[in-house]
Amino acid sequence: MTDTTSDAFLQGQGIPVDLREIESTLEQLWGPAAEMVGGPEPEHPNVTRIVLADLVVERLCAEAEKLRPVVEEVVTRYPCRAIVVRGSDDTERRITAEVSAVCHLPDPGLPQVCSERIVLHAGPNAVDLVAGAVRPLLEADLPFLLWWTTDPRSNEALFRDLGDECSRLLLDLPDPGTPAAALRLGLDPAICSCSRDTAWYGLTRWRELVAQFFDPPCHHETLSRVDSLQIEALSPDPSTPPRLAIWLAAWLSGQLGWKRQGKPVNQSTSSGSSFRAAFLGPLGTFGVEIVTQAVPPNMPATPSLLGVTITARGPEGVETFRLNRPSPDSPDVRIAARAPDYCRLPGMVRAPELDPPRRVAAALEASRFDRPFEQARPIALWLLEHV
Amino acid sequence: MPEPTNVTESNPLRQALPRARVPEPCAIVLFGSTGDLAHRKLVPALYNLARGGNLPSECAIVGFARRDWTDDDLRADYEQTLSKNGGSDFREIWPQCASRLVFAPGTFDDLDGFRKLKDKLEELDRTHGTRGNRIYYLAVSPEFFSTIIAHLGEAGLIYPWQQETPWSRVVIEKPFGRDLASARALNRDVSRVLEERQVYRIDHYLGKETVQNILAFRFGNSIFEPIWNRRHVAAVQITVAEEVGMAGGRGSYYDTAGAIRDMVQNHMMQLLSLVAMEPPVDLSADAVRNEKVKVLQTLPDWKPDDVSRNVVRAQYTAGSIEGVEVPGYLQEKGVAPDSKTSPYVAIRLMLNTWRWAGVPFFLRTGKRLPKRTTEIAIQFHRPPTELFEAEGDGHSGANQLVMRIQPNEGASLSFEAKIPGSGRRLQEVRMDFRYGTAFAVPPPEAYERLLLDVMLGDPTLFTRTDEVESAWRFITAILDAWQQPGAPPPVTYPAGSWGPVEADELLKADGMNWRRL
Repeated sequence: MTDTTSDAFLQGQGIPVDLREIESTLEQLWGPAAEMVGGPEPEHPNVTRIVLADLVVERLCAEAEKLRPVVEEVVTRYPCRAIVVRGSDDTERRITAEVSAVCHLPDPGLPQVCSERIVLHAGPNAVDLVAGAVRPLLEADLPFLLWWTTDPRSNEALFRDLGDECSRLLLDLPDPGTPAAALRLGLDPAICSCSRDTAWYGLTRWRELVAQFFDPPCHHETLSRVDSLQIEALSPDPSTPPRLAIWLAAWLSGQLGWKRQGKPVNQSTSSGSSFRAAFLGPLGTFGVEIVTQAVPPNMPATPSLLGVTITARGPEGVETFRLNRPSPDSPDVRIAARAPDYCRLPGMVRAPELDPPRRVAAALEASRFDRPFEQARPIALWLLEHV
Repeated sequence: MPEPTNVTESNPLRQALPRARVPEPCAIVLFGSTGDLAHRKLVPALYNLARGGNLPSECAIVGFARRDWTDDDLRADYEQTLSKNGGSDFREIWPQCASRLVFAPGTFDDLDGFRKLKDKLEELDRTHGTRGNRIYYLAVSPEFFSTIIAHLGEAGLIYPWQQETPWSRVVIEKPFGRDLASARALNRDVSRVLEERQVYRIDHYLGKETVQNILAFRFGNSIFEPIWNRRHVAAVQITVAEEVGMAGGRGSYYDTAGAIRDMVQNHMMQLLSLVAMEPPVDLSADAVRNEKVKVLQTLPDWKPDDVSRNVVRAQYTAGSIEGVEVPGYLQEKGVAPDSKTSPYVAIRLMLNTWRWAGVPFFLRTGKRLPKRTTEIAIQFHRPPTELFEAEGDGHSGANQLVMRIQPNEGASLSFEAKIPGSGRRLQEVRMDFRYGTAFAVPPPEAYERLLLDVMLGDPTLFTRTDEVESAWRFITAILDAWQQPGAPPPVTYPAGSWGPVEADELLKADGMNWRRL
């Protein structure tokens, strides 16, 4: 192995390699790489090779390259062996491979932290070979995380095959634009008991802020008196509510034990859409509405939440709990409660939206056991089927 | 760590959410706002909390000091401090922070200044929405603690502890006393005005992620706790080494304290208690602190003879570190030329508990040692028989588990492996875990974590009265022995070495050596 090859490897350039030679090639590349940048000194290496998990990234589509920076950022935050399965135009029944390193410097003076990335290219006639190519590359005794980024119905056999073996499945499908049927298959607990939607992890901060309203013991009971929920969202396609907003409604419904009623309805409005669903709570049937507007031109074309308003029937009248961004592109969220005894909460907090790499990294770091997600899943799927 | 209060347990919306919470609105009064600690640690920590979205918008920071300053003077002073390391978004974030800064002129011994402070805080409740909640941070010289606390009480700045909201909390920096008597006297002064739950005694070591990880390491894994006892552990070494001397004008303060007060009584006793404690019933503040204090209560009652056998104190002489010549301790600025204060201490102690009976704990700390490093090393027994040929001293299998507190935070386990070939020789190898590489997200600074905990009302990482007094009981016996007529003076070691030979002798009786760091 030449120095130039090792250099290219460390700089993240893909080194083509025979599928059967991947492990031995990696060994050969890591050795000189470590020596070249300061070693060999076992006590003070200048490169640390880290593998906390096996991360298999499915990207069997034409737009594979777009995911590359996201994978790099995820691997930086969560060092793992990334095995990226990419689609290709190759009509041969074969899989080709390349290896590269993803390195970053955690702190000046500390060794570079490097993980390895193995890219497998599979053309349309080789998809059924992928599972057999991936399995030998999985490091033993480490969590196997499957990050699936295309409609699972397109390659259902492979999805089921890998999904059945993985310890965690992360479904990262477009929002908006993913049919409910794709999510139903992708989140099927019979395939993987720990399957999650990345959109769910975009909600964490909002969930914290909503929960915070009801932390004082005297307000636990308020939750049983909720009689309306309105969510305001932005979406590149405002004709339907984004999944992010659907999950928020489903989470509240699941945690508070609301029962689904009737059939949700989505209506166009002058500025976007209004999606309405009915639920049965302790006080009777009430409405949940998601109002969606178009993302302003100066903002990234991704869905986000603008506000959440919950009302409750209090002993002294209507109580209102509202979170909203002061402007669509603001990283802050304004907190306002119109209810007795509300003296504890700050008026504004910083709560920027998580970008895609952070959502994925958060999903990988989150607990495998997420009961709120499990409770929200059937409700979200029901809502999505009526979008 | 546990939820600080009981407010969230029955909230179904809290299920499976991270425990991070934004604290309630409050005013933070910094006594010593123009001092070194405020500039180096507290203000940057508050800024970083604000930057990370962890401070409520209704939060005001009040600088209380003798200077004839305005709010703008305080803002300009802190802006200068923060702008150097404030990050690329400093100009964006600073205006929000600056608007929260208020200056209150006053002296610690003037009650009238505290009454004016009360008016100022009430005004902030109206203008900044701080809702009556108060944190008083005593970043001042310890001789002012009692006076400030008494005046806080007299000026009506402390609420009854039974009152859930609004609340008042007082943060006290170390040192908390100079010996057992002064610590007890200070505790009495504190308890006249405050209830224990309103007092947050800071030992910033407890805010370090790696120190908190000692509990996670011990009680979050099943493989370590079964061997964490006298049957498997031969000795424990705790080292807090610093390469710095008395730079930055520390000499005059340090010469009144020495390593025993500055490092052993607080940081090292905390490390010892976390390493040696029994499992707590849960991670609530009192459960954890109950177990820690039990360790400190089992520290031996030493007589002067015990001290001379088990403690080595030393001063550094001139030497060199990293190729630079440095003066001896007695030549340092601010240090009395005939000082008996010791910047180096080594201690051998036993804990009289079922778990640790017979296991020596070796503690050492010193200034002008070759490098800055803090670690805890658990040294395990050797195998009962020697089946293999070992490298080095010819003995195999003295496994060690090392928890590195700083730098290179992490842990490593050393064990023997067979050297490839036809022989039967072993060589020590290491499994290494580093925080900085395994977790890409840098841990928060200790003061950030601790300030946030005060705002959230979580005292787990703060020292309780009985912990302070138990540690002082042990330390005071050593201090008293050093004051005895005929007590030997401190021995010496050259700056840049690992300490005096007398410290090595402490371990020889147990057939051990200090670890080479």
